[in-house]
Amino acid sequence: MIFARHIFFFSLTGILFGLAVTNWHSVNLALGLTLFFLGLALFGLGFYYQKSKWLFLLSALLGGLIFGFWRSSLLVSLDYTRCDIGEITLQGQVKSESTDGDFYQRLNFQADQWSEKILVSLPRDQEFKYGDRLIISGLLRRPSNFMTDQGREFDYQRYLAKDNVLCLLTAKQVQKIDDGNNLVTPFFKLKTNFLLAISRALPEPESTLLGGLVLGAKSGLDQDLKQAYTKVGLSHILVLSGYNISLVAAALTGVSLIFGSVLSFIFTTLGLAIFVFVSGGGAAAVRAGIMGVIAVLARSLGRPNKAGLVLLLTATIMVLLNPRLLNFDLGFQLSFLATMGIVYGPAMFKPRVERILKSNFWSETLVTTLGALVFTWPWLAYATGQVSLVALPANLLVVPLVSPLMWAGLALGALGLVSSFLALLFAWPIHLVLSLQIYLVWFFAAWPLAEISLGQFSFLWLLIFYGPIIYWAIRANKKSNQLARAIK
Amino acid sequence: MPRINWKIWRWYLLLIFIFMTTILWSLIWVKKPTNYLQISYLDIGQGDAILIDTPHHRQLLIDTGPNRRLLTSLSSVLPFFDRSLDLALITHQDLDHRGGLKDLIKNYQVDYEVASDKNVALPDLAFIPIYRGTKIDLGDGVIFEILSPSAREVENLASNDGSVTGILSYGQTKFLFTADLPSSRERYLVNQFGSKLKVDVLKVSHHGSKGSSDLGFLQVVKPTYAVISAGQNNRYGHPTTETLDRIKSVGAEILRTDQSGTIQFRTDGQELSFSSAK
Repeated sequence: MIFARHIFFFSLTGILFGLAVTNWHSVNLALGLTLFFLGLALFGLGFYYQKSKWLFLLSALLGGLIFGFWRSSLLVSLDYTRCDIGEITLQGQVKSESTDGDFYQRLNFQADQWSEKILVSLPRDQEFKYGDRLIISGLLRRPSNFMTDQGREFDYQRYLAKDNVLCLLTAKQVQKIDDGNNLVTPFFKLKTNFLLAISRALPEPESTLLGGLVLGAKSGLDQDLKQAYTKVGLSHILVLSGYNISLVAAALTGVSLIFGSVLSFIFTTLGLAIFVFVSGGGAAAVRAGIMGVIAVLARSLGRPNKAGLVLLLTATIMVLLNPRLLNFDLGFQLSFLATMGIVYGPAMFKPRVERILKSNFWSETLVTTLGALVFTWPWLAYATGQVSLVALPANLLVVPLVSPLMWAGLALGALGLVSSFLALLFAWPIHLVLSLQIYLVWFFAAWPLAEISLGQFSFLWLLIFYGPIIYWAIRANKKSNQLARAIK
Repeated sequence: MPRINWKIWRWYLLLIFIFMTTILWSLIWVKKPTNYLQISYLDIGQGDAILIDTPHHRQLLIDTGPNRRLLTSLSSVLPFFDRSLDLALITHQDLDHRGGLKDLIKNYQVDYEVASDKNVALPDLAFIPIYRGTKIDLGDGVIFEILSPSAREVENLASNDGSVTGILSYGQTKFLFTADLPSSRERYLVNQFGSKLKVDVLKVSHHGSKGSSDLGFLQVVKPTYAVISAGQNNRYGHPTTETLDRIKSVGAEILRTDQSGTIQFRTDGQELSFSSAK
């Protein structure tokens, strides 16, 4: 049984590696065939030397690798010359909610007869919603890569490509030809009113912050404050993550459990699907949601190894569906790593932490936070060139406040839909806690070494960092498994 | 049905009542009339947004800045449960003066929008047109008098030329608001109003651009303080050195939102004092 699991693990890892490599470098047929025959040879040898399971595992890895190559060879390369048309008039449909910039709003637009999407910038005076049909004229252009504040090149083309966005369009004229009313319109309306109710009850920036905590609402937070959240390693609470989702899932289950477990499961799944869809986070939110639920299941089942494998499988399926995620979606990468950390972290840290901390609540918070941090830190450093040195204390102080705030935010929004005066009375303590959170973020961000810049470093360093972490995770979890079995 | 434990519930109810009373009293405390007029030049980046708060808390907002940033700076000068404004005045149609209006009315109850240019009226807001000669009485003796544009001119003036310009007076103290008025219109005002333009605090026209703040105009206005509302490192290079030199030459102290953040003036009609966020 364990052997089958290992084989499975190695094939999945192979697939991920294969896709990762081909996202950067094209692999030719000769190399593919060589690896294929090498894999076959190893497999044969495995039968010959019956004792050595490593040969089988290696051939599984190679098999996965080749499968990954094959999948990415199916990817159609994007033809950016299509963006060079210049002035153009297009008819099509809005495929996202609009996000507010300082002077423009942006939305994803699916033009008729186009297989790719277009990211449109429009003036802020008109409002559009998901599903609206528009005629847009303006200037079509290629997305171009740019330098970030840290002096690194940001691959904007590939960043957009992961959402199948090919070109940018600055709209000069927009005409709405059809109101996009469909099944989900009422839910979007509910969400808009919900956020409006919150913003009537709380001032800025607290109201936007609460909207972000509850629904992952993206737009509107001050650039300075957003940067401060990133600096102290807390930006993850502003987006819809597995964490928010798991809380909503728990609530839905709690409410519906009286109808029996099957109906409750269906209700929870449907409710989550609507929640994730309406949050406007799109596919990213869906993926975060799935991973969040897996993490919760894993924690409640107490089987980290199986959960880790399920997580790996889920991630592999997601990446097979959209290979560009793997290399170009930092959100996806971090979601995956953080969930791994939440699954494997407790076994790594619990024995040490419990010696110092007696409180169950705090030790639980500490071990999951540590797990998520250890797994994401090296990757964040590699991807952004920045390392937050205050992430641990900031997370420990702020994250425990997030779930009560989420509940309070849900209640406040619901109350505000009924009466804005009542919401205003109820908002007072929430305002206090939110201000405290913002104060903590500013406080930690102001430390002289809150964040240090590492610049670009080699991928090899990353392997050197992750090697010991993975070894530690495996060993600690083996130990805790043995312990669990012994107790049984 | 489990029986309700009234002994515990009594305490909960008591707590809730104490909580409600505290909130109600703090509402009353914050809304308590003061004896001073407060004027806040909000730090909203490149643009204008100025909040006038009278002793009895009649609130007039002159312009809304370019975007949502208005909301953050507004809540830094208002108590958190004050979610209403009496008037929002839009001086002209440039986005750095009215871009935040839509966000404002989503978050605050605004009773009326006032402006000279009907094109800036939002459909969801009650609109009152204002022209030269209109006097807005904000109570407590606080009067905002519109100097420009006149009802006749308004159709024919280019955007900045049609900027709503007015004087706010309370007791002995006077504030002049000029939005984006260019030099030519400043000279026109000097011709029309002469020494009536003499004030204590001038909101420098057009974020300190070189095409505004005519020297002759500044010599007539002769402000003690000149407030410039501009964004940090804005791409227009506002305010320009020439303008700053002209303002200094009439002896005014220059205050800038890009350097000091939100700038607040307080006056009881006699004495004038100011403070800034940074």
